[in-house]
Amino acid sequence: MSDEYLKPLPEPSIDSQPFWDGLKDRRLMLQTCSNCGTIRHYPRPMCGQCYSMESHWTEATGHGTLYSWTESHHPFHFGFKAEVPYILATVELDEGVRIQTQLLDAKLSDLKLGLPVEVVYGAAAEGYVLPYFRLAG
Amino acid sequence: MIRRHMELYGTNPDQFAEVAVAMRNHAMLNDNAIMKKPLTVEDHHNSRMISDPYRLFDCCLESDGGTAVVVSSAEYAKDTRAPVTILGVGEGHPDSPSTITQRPDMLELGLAKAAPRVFEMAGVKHKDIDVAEIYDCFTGMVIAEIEDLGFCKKGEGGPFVEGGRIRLGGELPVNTHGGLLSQAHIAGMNHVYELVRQLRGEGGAAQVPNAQIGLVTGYGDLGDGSLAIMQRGF
Repeated sequence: MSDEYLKPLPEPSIDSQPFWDGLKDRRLMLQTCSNCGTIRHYPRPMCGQCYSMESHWTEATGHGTLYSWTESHHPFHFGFKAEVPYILATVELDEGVRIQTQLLDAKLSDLKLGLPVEVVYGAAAEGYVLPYFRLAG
Repeated sequence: MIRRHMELYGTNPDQFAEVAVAMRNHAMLNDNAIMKKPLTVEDHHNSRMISDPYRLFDCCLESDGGTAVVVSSAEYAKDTRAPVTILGVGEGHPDSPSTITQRPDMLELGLAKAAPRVFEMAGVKHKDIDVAEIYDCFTGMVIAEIEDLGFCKKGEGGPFVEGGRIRLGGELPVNTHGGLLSQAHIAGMNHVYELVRQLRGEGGAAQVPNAQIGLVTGYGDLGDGSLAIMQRGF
């Protein structure tokens, strides 16, 4: 087995660059409307509540709850072939937005809606860091 | 999305299998369908897991093909062979139409907004619907759409499909051509075609007896929903 990283890498945009930069520092950053304060994720140019184009970044606590999940058995990209099955989760962060993530070290049969989870950081290739989650102890 | 439905409402794989088997039974009556081999609940449960809880037979086909539909004013259609009247159409988008994960209730589709408008426009009630062609990219989506169409309450779609209710001869025959699951994935245009076929009385072995009024839905992966209700003749 080679150690080559085969999964797709993030492609930061002008809107999402601070999100990816934050992860490199092990910080989960969320885009926040500078006009009305609504937090949004994924990063995008305009606030869906007040249509302001002004935003800044807030650090999330990294805590949330399990909103839904699936266990992925079929690798839709060859980079994930060695990893299946893995649990793909939708986590509702304490800040109110939801994030798609892999849930680590969990058994499918143990999962329930609303279980507390917390972020853990994992390195990807080229210096990228990705946000994973695990059940909070 | 469907895992949350299961956790909240107790929707289960037997109900997913019932959708898959009903679609397959209908496809077996259709000369223009890809999946003609009989399918049982056990076959469904034994098929390989794709993305839990969805197994292979919960997922639709990937197909090449085409469908054409001619739409005109009623006046121009008057002397055509077997016209079908569009009674109502509409579409709806979930709140946060740009992402599945951020909509306030992940389980509420745009169809929930479109359905009351279209039923009102068409001037018909749910009990008037003789046949339903429902966009079936996955088995669970049929259950979710039946709820958002208003045939039952949110969470009751699983029990609704049980007992042959969506099979030919049932209370609400669904996807009489076999759907995306067993006829072919022609992006739901095959559902429009099938509804016209049924309302013309040209459904062959899959004909719903005396089908007068029917509906067809469309669905997009971000939750967008569309609906048309049609009637035989003018």
